[in-house]
Amino acid sequence: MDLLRRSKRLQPKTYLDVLAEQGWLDLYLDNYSKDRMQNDTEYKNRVYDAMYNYSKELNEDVEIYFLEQFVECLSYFNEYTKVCRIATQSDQK
Amino acid sequence: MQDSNTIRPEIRGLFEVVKQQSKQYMEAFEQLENQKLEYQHIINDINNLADSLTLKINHEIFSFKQKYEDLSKILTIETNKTLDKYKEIADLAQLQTSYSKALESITLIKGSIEKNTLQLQKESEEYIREFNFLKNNTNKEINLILSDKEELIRRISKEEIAIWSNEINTQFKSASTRLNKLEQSFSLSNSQLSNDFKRLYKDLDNIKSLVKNFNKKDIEENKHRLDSVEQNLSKYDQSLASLSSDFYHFKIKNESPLAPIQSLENEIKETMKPVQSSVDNSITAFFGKDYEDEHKKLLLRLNKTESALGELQSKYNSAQLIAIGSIIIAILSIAIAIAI
Repeated sequence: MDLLRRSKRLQPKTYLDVLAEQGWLDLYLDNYSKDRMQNDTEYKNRVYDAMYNYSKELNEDVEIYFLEQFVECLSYFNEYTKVCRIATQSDQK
Repeated sequence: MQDSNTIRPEIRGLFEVVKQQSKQYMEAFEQLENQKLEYQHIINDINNLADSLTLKINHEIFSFKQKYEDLSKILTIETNKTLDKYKEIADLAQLQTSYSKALESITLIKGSIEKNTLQLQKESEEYIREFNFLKNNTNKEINLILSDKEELIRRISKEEIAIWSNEINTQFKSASTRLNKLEQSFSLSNSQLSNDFKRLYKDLDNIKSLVKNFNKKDIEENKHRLDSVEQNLSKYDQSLASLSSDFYHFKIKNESPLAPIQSLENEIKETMKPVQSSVDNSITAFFGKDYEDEHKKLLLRLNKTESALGELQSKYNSAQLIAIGSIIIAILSIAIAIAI
């Protein structure tokens, strides 16, 4: 993971990173790529990554996005460990 | 996680806690994975073992099945053999029973045969007794009949012989008288012949004397005389032929009566020969030796009669010879007379 981060830091900044650093990204998204944000998930991930890495202000959308991701991961985890939990519950009973 | 201003620090702390927990979970999951792998290895080993065991068990089951099939086959064969043996034993038992039955029947038959033999012996003894009784009776009856028949034959033969002897005697007598007559006629003819020869000699003497005084008249007379002499000679020939014919008839007549007597005698002898022996035995058994004397006397009488018949026959033969001799002498004398 660290290597991946480092490699990303070594990569040159994209226009999304620059927009996020300068605080123009929300405006850009509202004016130019609203539809793309709704349809293109990869683009959406790049946008939120750029905001998370380079934005200097608090952004609720990013929090919501990461919390949603977190919830998804947790739900996946719950689903993944459901069998174990049921087994432990039956053992406890 | 790097320090970002976009997310609040509470959320970031939450993410950090979750991150640590996730690490712990990662480790736990890794351990679980390892355990899982180990379990899988164990399960694989167990499966392999189970497979090998199942293979072994299947192999053993197959071998057991084959052994069972072989054993079942052997058992079926052995059971068939035992069944055959039981059948043979049953057959032997049947044979034994039939043999015992046959033996019983044989003993019964033997007993019946012994009874029958005893009965047959009794019957045969009775039959022999009856047969001897019948034989004696029949012998007696036959002896009686034979004696009666013998007496009858003797009587008939005696009567026949007497008749035939009388006939033969009469024929002998007639033949002898005829012979005498023939002899007388022969002597008369001989005397006539001698007279005629004398006359011939005289005539021949006269002819000889006359031949000396030979002329034609005398020749003619002599011819007449010669003719008369020839006529006389032809007459002599005729008388000689009649004499020979008479003698031939006489010979036939003398031979003919003897033939039936001889045939009758032979027939009587042939009939008497087989009967005589049996009859003699039976009659001697019945009458004793007295009959034999009587029988010998009768036989002597018969022999005498036979010898008398033989003498008569020899007499006839001698008479025939005399007659033939006299005829031959007459023929010779005639021939000499003609030659002279």
